Amino acid sequence: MINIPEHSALILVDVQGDESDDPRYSMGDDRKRIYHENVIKVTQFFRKLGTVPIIHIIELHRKDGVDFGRELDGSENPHCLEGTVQGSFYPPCAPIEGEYVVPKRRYSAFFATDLELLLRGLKAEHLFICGGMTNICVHYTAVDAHQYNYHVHVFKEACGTPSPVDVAQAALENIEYFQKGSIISVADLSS
Amino acid sequence: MRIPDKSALLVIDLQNDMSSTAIPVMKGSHCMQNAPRIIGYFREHGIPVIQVREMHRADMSDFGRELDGVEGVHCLEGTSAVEFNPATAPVEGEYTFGKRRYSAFLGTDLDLLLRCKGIENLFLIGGLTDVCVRFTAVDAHQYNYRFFVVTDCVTGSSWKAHEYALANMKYLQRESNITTADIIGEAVEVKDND
Repeated sequence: MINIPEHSALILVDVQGDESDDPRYSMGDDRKRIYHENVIKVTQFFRKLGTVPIIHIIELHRKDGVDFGRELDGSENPHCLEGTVQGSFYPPCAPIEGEYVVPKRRYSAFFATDLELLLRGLKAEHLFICGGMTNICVHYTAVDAHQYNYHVHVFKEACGTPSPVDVAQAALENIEYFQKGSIISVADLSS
Repeated sequence: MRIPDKSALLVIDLQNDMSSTAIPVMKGSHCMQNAPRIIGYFREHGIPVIQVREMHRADMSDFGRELDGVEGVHCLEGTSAVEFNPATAPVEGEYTFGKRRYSAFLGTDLDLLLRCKGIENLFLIGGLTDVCVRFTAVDAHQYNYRFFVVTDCVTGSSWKAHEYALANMKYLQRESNITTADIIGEAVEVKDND
């Protein structure tokens, strides 16, 4: 059984409406199903616990594309436009009364957002993290949390990405490089 | 390649502690052979060279969570480990600054400096590919800079981590992976130094 310390918070990173129709960005049905099952499991566990604040991060871009910056210079196409399905929460995990929402324009949930202010207000020291993409927004949110002195705990099965499995694994190994023991399993929630 | 206008070279953590065991470094990297050539090229062409080095206070008050992973105590102020590597050390008139974290943007004046100089393109060399170089690239990207990482002038914690980090940077900016030969304009003869 996993120990949830005092001063913890749960951060759901970009658990959003359906992925792109573009097959290049498809996770494949099996990986997607496992990801969704686990992210729901984590959300429900923390809701039942009732003592740990739940924070929903959502990637949103303005419709005229003004805030994409360099984000389209690599592998990604326009995504998560405001007012679209991609720009809304995945319904089974969508925020409910009493939970926090932090929109972002970049990969890291700390970049140009009030997440750090919110976490100080909550006196959070341990961040439980899940969501997507494992190798981009989850990875960079975890490293910023680390650089801001938080303890990070990443539920490996509750992270998803359309990138290859070995790429996702390399990102988790890098998180483990900077905080030993930070990659944890959803299975530990119930055992 | 032609170095675009409004460019600068950012030299990351080429310090004096190369033989220290506090931080793992892959064997056989050509980083230290190529770095003086890259730096020399930027100097000769009058393109700004900026050097950042990792520094931690001697009482260790600023390590944060940095010792919770693989890395041991490193780059303490007042020790020789914190000094710039003599082979690549800054010269008069070059910009230098210290950092406490992996990203050269976090808690530093780098973004201000780049804005004041009108820099839009950052060339990255140094180490570690999968840690300070990668997370500096990520922040440069998030601040809207174009970045180029010189793949044979950076060194990682392991070859595997190095390769995955380079691919990760290419995911962000598809043109970002370049080589020393792309800059110098000729193949570079280097000896292995395992």
